[in-house]
Amino acid sequence: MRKSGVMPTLDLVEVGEHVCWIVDPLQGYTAATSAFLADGELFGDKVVIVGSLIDPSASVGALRGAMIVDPRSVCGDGPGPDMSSMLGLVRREADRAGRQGYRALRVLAVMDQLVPPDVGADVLIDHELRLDEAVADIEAIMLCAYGRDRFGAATLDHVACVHPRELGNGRTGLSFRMFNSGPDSWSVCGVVDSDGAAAFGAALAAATALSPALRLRLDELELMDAAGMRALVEAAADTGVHRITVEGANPTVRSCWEMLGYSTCEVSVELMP
Amino acid sequence: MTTEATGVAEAAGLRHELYSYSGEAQFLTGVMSFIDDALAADEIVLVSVPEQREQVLRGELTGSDPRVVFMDTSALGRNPARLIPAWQRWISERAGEGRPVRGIGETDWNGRGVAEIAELRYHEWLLNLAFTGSPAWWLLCPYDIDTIAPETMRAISRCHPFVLEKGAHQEYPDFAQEPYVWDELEPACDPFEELFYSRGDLAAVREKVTACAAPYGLRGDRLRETLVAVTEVAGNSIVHGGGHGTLRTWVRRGTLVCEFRDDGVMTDPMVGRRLPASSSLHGRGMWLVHQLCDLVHVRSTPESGTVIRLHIALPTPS
Repeated sequence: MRKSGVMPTLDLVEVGEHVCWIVDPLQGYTAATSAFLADGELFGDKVVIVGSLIDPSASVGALRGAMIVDPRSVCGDGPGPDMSSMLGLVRREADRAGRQGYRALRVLAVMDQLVPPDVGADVLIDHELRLDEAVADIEAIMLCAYGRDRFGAATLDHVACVHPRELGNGRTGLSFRMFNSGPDSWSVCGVVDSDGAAAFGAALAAATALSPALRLRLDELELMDAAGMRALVEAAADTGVHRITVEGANPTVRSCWEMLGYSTCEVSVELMP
Repeated sequence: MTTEATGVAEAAGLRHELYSYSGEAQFLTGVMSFIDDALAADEIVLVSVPEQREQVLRGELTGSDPRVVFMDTSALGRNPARLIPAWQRWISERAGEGRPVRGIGETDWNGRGVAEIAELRYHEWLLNLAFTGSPAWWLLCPYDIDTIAPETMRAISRCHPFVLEKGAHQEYPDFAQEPYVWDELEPACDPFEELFYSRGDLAAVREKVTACAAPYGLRGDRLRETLVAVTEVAGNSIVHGGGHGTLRTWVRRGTLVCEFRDDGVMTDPMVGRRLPASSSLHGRGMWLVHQLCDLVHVRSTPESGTVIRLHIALPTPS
């Protein structure tokens, strides 16, 4: 089971973790990234930074041996970002890192430089879920840094909840997280309520595109309200997916599902016993 | 404070009839005559009465006529809001058999508090609205006048367009075809906890309710069910009630009360009291609230906005 939730610092980040960092403009990138990158050297990780450093002079020590990737080489010069090349880079460099004798790949992606601020939450959710599926499958640590003053609050809420981990900075976001938990399997933890239902629906739409036979694991989900359950039913109906199979739901989720009538009507969602 | 909707005297679907009685003998006289008339006309009778009354009736009915069906209401719990959808389900199931349907519905009044009694009276009034488009059926409501305060009985009587009296079925002259006058809600218990909430605060609402309930032993599945209910109501304030609301919580007489106030107006008094339509996924939140809570008070007017009180029975101290 992958770890999820807010982490106070990046000191304890482990291989296989995919971390969202909403960067406060007053905080800047330097303090947290210096330690993150220095730990790469300490643990024998191959460090890759996608994006030019905001404050290179402060991180000179930590940058020794790091691979700096120009964001333009990843995303190209087209009108919209090509997020698949970023995914390809991560998979390729993780493979190389293994062959080069590193423990793992450690990536800092400066998203401010990779995507325009109006890119749209759906594009970012799709990208982050694909990235999460990859990180869960390879020896890598992924840190995605989003400038708080660059993206809208709603977009940041949507993006943060498709990372299993988030670097805490006092921000109050949505109450759930959705992340990969194996082939065609996605876990949801926390609470899905009406504040998070739209993000949950968008995450499900992206996940069903990746996994036509989707397994949704709810072992760590506390509760889901009617808006969340509607999002689940609509996602199964809208995407033409054959069926969403729900596993590990607690008794409260199960009884609410029945009370709402979904257990007896024609929906493409099946709650497993 | 009154509803915007007025009462319905001649609901197309339902003949809603009061039968007040005193003692077991009178109960049997009125109810058995109702059943005998129904069976003579080859109609089906659905019976939902307290267990003691059911035993008396079963003893009086000779043989087992399949046209008399006793309904198990134990799974419905104590929230009167679950009675209308139960009757809707029973009637729709039986109407498919092609015979006219009658019902006998008596509620157990033992141990009911002021809040529950107020809601039971409102339920009787709402019955007239609930079946306007349903197949025709006839509901007899027996009331034991020895167990109900006279002023409460008078108020309940005024919710019935028809009455069975001295063996005759007739219109009830005191039926109030006018907006429903809600009972005043009991004042919030002092001290109470208060939280102003808006978008992004649903987690804070859950934390506040958890903090109020936890010292009284509410935990596990029942706490989670409570948190689903408060999330639904607070979410409604944010989406439909002006974007914000105020939560008050207190504990009184072994019950956790969560009160939500916002600027929205619920114009349909039947919200959450109808079975969810399979054709639409929307509008199921208040239905879920009624299924999860032991009692729900809704007071909503254009002048005052909306007040919703959720009552959750706390575990009995061991």
